[in-house]
Amino acid sequence: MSRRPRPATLLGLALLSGAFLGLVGMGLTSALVYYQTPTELASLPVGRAVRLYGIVASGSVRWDAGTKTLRFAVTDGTTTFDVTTQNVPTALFREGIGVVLEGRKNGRRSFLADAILVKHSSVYEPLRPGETVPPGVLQQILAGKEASP
Amino acid sequence: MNVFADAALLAAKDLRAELRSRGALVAAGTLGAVAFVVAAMAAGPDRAQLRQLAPALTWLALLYAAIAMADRLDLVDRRDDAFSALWLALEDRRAIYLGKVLALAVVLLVLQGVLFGLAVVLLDLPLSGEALWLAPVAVVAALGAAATSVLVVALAGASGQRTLLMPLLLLPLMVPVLLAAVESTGAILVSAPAAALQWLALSAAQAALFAGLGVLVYEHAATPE
Amino acid sequence: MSAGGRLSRFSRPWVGVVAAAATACTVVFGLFIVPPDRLQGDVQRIMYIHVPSAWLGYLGFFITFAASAAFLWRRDPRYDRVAVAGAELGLLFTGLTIVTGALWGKATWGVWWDWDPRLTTTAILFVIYAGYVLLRGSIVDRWRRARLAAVLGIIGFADVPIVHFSVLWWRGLHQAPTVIQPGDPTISHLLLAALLLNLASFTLLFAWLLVRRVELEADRDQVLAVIGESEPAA
Repeated sequence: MSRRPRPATLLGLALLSGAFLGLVGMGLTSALVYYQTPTELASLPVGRAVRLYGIVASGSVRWDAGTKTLRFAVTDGTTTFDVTTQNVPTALFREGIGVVLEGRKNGRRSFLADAILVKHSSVYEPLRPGETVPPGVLQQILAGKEASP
Repeated sequence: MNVFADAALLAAKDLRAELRSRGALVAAGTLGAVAFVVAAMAAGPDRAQLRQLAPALTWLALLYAAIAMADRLDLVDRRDDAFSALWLALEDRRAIYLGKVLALAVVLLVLQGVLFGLAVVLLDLPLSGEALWLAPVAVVAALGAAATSVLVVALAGASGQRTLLMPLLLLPLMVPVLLAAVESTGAILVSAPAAALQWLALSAAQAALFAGLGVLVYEHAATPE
Repeated sequence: MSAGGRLSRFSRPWVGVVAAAATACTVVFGLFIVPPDRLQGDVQRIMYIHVPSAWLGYLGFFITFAASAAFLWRRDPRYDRVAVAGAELGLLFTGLTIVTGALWGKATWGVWWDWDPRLTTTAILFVIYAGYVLLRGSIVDRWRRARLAAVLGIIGFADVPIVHFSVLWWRGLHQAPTVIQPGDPTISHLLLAALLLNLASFTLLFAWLLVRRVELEADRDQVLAVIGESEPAA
């Protein structure tokens, strides 16, 4: 089988290496986006359905028991959006954690979320002896509301 | 004669046969029209939603046309065992693969023109100067779809479950091509054409990957019984 | 059949016994000895199954890819047997990855499924190899089946690099790799120990299942040769 490679073989190999280099090149530029940051969203028009990723700002979480609405703010450090949602996030939801929101921009700095996906930070730490898993902010609010009346 | 001249000759043969029967164009055009009408019924009076779905619908209709057409191009030679003759006559059998890819890509390009025209009329697709950017997207997507389909039809065609396995094997492999085509079409017609370039590059990489693999392994897939 | 002889010795029942014992150990270690995660609580323990399953799923598909290429090159039926074993194990472990991932996702993200690039490509990979198994099932002739399946085993694997790098290319919902990245792992050492222990026991299980599956396929070839359904193995 020590023939000279035929032209079609060369074409196949050239196409394969082209595809490989193209994919590596795309990996380096990583220009394809999956979600917007608050700063990126600020320059987009109102009304477009997007995914928004941000950190839940500390002290911003409010629960309106009457309308069953959750309000909080997400930030990327420079821009902050006020989020309104009727969706209940998981127990992991808390201040300072990253969330991906699906929904639409409904004002200059406000966002209406149809879904809240709590993004895991990929930091794993064991519970220390004597510690318990801290409840999420929403659980704290709900517990406080039940205690108050 | 070298392999590329053989491929061009074979592609011309398939295209001439297709041009004379014109069955494929009529079938795919009707298929597209039916898909659009059903979608328009589902969307109701919401024109904006319909317009947003238009790129996906167009490419989905094209995908089904690609499956049907690849099947047809394969059967055309298999039926009277012309394939075995080609197999023995050719200096490099991969000319069959290259020829089929070329012929299918040309047919798919024409189909895209038809389906796009239908989408403008039936789905209220906005038409502007930027629609010209669709041309490179269409070419790359047609080549990617053709390179993948011709290879897969050789596999599915040799099995006992041709009609079941064709879409089952082809759809997952076509997802990147399809996704890139839909996203870049949406980017061109709805938002920023610049965003389409990235998707175009992804689409091209997929097309090159499958065409390259196809050239290297086609002989193993298509050996006649 | 020298390779066959080596395999048989390797697949003596004790390999299976050790794999089962190691898995039992990791169950005890992962469920009772390692403390829960500080933020996620007990849900995080799913990771001990999810992550090794994902690695082994990829490994299974890679084995199919390599064995398929080797088969087309050498035309030795042994490579085809390895290819089918790799694909079926890849499907098993990728299926396990998807199911455990969905359970974890519902508790952590709040959804069973999301069209995140890595999730989507993993699902596509699963469907491609399900097609591989179906294609094999629909071809009667032994050699034709091996040849066509090998082609699909190769082109199907072309998707894997995209799966692996997608998490880095797209800014997806799935977190970046925890263990394979430069710098100190962002996982505490006790939790990492549980993960690595489970990886070892699952890999042992994988190896045992792989060898047994290859042997089964070889037996089937022999039976078919005896009853005259197919040409004898080369």
